[in-house]
Amino acid sequence: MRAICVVALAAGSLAGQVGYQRLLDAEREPGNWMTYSGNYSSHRHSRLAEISRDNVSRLRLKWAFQMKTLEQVETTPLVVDGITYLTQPPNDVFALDAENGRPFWHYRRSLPDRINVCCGQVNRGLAILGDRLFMGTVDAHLVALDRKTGNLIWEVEVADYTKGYSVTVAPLVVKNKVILGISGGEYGIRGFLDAYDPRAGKRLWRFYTVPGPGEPGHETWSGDSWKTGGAPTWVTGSFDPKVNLIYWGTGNAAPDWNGDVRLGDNLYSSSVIALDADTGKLKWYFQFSPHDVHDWDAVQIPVLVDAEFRGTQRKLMYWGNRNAFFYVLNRETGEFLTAKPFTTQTWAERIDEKGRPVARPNSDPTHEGTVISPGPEGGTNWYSPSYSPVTKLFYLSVWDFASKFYSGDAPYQAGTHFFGSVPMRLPNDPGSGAVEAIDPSTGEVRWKYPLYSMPLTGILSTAGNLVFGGTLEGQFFALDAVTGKELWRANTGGMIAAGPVSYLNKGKQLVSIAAGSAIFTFGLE
Amino acid sequence: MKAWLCLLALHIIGGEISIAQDDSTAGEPLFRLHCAECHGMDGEGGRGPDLRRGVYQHGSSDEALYRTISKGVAGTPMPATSISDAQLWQIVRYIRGVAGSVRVTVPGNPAAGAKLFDGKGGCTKCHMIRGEGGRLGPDLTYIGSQRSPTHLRASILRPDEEISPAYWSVEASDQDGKVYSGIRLNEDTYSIQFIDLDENLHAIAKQNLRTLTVGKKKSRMPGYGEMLSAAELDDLVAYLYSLQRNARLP
Repeated sequence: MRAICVVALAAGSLAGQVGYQRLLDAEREPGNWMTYSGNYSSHRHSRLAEISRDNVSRLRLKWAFQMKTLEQVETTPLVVDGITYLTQPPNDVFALDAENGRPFWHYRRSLPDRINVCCGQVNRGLAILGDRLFMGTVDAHLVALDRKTGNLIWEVEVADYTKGYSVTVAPLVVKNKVILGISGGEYGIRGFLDAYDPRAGKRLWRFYTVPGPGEPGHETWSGDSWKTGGAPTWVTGSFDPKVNLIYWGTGNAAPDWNGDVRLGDNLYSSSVIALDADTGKLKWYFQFSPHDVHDWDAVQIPVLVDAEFRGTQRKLMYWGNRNAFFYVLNRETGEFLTAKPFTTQTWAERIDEKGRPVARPNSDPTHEGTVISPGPEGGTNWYSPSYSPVTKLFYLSVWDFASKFYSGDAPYQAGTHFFGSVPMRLPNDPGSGAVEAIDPSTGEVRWKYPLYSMPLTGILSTAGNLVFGGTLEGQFFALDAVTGKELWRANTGGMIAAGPVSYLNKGKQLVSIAAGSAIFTFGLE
Repeated sequence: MKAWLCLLALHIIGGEISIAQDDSTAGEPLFRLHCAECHGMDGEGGRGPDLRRGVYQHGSSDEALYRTISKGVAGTPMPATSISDAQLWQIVRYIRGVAGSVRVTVPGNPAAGAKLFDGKGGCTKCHMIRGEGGRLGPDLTYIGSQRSPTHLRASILRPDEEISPAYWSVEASDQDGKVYSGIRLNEDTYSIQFIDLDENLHAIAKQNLRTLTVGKKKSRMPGYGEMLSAAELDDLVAYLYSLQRNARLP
């Protein structure tokens, strides 16, 4: 009986349920948005084309849903069969009628008084499998909710939140597992990626992103620094079912800006790891920023594309990295293929033929301060990029700025910040932003839509040849995916720090975006 | 434990004495790393307030200092600080040590400075004090609580050295040829908001502007080095420094 349940939950395509096969075939039902990035290849691309370059000027607000929160809203909603599921930070969940935003139910989670989250008690979204929704919490739990009632089915502790562990990432369901990352790179945690049984929450495997004694890579940490090495996994990864690999980015080594207490490359921080989906065993890794001392987490979305590269058809991975370089990797092997900067960077002479950066002299933090571009938030960050199979371009939100990096003492105390200084922005030089379209075959920026401020908005591309993005000040816009020309814009009135999604409701294409403390849904008038 | 006893002693005695050197030294490197860029290497102030007085705009108790350092001050460049509790209390103790150790004295006559401010200096054209004066420069009602005498003197002599983004200048012209001059209030990709030299508010879509120059390095305020004598400068600084929260105007 138990085995039958597993099959039904994991692979079933019962009416109304979201079995693994539906997630696998997400591109066949573009009317739904069933995973954080829209499909396992993490394209954040909608195959819907009702809203197009010709009619996007008629895009109007259909409904808005106001949340009661003072936290930054970073959620990507899931939309399945006419119901929108979204998180309200820190860890409430709503199910809304996708037609008008009216709630079906509201899950409220009580949290301890003191939560250790570096950058706000945020949450980026849910995962769905069968009739269950899965959410990680800032007190480092994983909860399973019934998707029709919001009732709590089970919850398990992922790690000890009092020691700086928390969960902000949207989980990813792969086969019959819920894959969950961890936050806490600013608290000296030891990072990991977990897989849980969706039935009762039993942990099935854990891969530590900081290797312990006797494990390969352990030698890249001096002394006991591995115990507090960071390398969290706080942004959702991708999955390639053909090679059965989960790809996930890892965050900064800890402490952030003092590398002297953790000599070595500090594997697997600031890397992409490729894990066997069944066992969690490491197949390969690629470290973008060895021995990072600038807080350049590699927690960007791994974008998987099958395409020709230098005359050969390959299984590729595109990666716009926080260190300001756009990378192309072979995702079967982790082989480095190319890298090119997409915004101002002053820290690396070049990336060598193996993919290892050759740092410029005096680019590390010092006691007196070192001015480097990009600043600690990077040339881009956690907000999603998009890949359009129509234009074959890679779109991302970009920052162009510098900061002064300091190095200081970093005494470790469990559950408190473990930084080793705090970088400063340059007075009178606030930087600027952009949305860029990169041609992955060359790494060249095809077009650039300049922004006054540095954006926190994820990008959505659509088959209507549109690119949706937003600004720090709350403007939500649609660009021509081919030229970058602005075609439509609406003022949401609140900072946009989330990624857009698109789906169908009663046959009509809608686009939703979280902004300020609300979610806004637009459709053609 | 020793540290807590020390803080307790400060509560009882007040800010009249400095705490023992060995209790505050642990915070010194932290202060220099996190605070000195704005508050000066020894807390003497700069872009941020002089911390040596022991009386602070956002609360002078240890708890208030802790809160201000950890949470920052909304609407000012003072950021929230993400360091451990232990380090934060070390900084509080260091500030306490600095506060009791130096007596801030300012040469000059505040009353004479007030006359200069309203008269020869022409400062009221752009600066407001308790609701009187212009709107193009910073409100100076509590400037003595916010800036050290050294910083005030430097700002009067060399206003271009440091211009807050809140006071960047704007020069613009629209498609009809109308020309605007003023102080930038806000801006995004698509529009700019500013106050012109006659104190009218404008919000203009950038697509309707023919030219737009935002001046980040040249203040609209002149340097006063040649306009004021050394004694007058002392008087003006003394007046501005007297503009403390809860202080009486001369």
